[in-house]
Amino acid sequence: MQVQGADTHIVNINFITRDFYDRYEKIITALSRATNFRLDADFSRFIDLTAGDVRLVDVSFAYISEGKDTVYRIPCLWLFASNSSLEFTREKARALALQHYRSIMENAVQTAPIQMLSGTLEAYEKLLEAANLAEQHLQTFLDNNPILIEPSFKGKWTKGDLRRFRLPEADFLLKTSDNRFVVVELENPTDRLLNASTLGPSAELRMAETQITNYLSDIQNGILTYRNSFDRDLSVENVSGQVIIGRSSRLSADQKKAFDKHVSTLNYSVITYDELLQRNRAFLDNLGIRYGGFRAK
Amino acid sequence: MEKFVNEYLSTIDRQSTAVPRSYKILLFPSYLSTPHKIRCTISSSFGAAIRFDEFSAKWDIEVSFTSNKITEEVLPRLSNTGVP
Repeated sequence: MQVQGADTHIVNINFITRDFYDRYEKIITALSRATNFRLDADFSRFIDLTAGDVRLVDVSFAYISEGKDTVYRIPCLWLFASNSSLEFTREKARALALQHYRSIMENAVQTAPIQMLSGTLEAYEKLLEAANLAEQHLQTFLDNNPILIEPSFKGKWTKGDLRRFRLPEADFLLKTSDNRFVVVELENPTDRLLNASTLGPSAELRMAETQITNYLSDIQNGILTYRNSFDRDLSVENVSGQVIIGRSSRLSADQKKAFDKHVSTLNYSVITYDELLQRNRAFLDNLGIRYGGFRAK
Repeated sequence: MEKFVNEYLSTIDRQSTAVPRSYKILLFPSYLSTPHKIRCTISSSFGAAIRFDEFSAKWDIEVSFTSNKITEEVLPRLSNTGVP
């Protein structure tokens, strides 16, 4: 491969000698997500640097040396054709840094939403695993990341905003891209979901259900006022409710069945904090199936 | 060479001050988002190289010289049978 000119970069490649590849072909092809280059033992022949520079980013080398397997990864190997001090001035460094920064940001603009969602979901999962997890922690997190509740949201009003519009003070009101409104009520992750003996809804779940029912009926009863004072797109048909409460991971199979059966009878949605995680994970998995896997850096 | 690398890294840092650290780790390649050990090699016959190596508590730059051609110096070189 002959390299000439500035700002060439080769990303995510495994350079593997023929003997190493032949020995571990099954493992390499099954596990590797990078491009595999099988080559003769002299790696320096692969890159014939004649001018300019080349960056090898996230590259791995695998070969057999003195009968021993050698495998290592280099985060970045930046090769220059020149050794002149004139090529390594501060001005040149600044210019190259600006050029590389712009290229990273342009690339990030294309991949950031998915990578960020993936990162957000990881952070949410960690939060769920935290000891002494409180409603307030989840409320703050979901306030910052309403995309987890409603991926197509385009507007969010918090309790304080709703008070100013004299709307029922739910935790959030989300407006979606297709002009639906979702009233969101967050309850405590430690709330019991079911009554242990009857497997009917617990007192805490009943209370949350009463609360969301009241919010929805208040909005529907005052719809003409709210259309004028809050948003012209609001209508009786396009307002729905979402309660997030408790942890389904703590339910037995029978309890989960009873919970699912109960919530299926309601005319608003009730999900647990674990189900919120699963729903978003499935969404990311579906994107991964359609558009390729996502790699955490 | 050390000044060149320092200037490169500090320019990237200055440009990305508005990017929160948690997003920087996601968006930037690892060698620019976290301090690494950096080995610079200058060849007296042909070329130079900057290798971002393992993670380090802070940026740690080391410069060395060689008379070999740079690609031969910094890339593994074995015989065709895989033996040095």
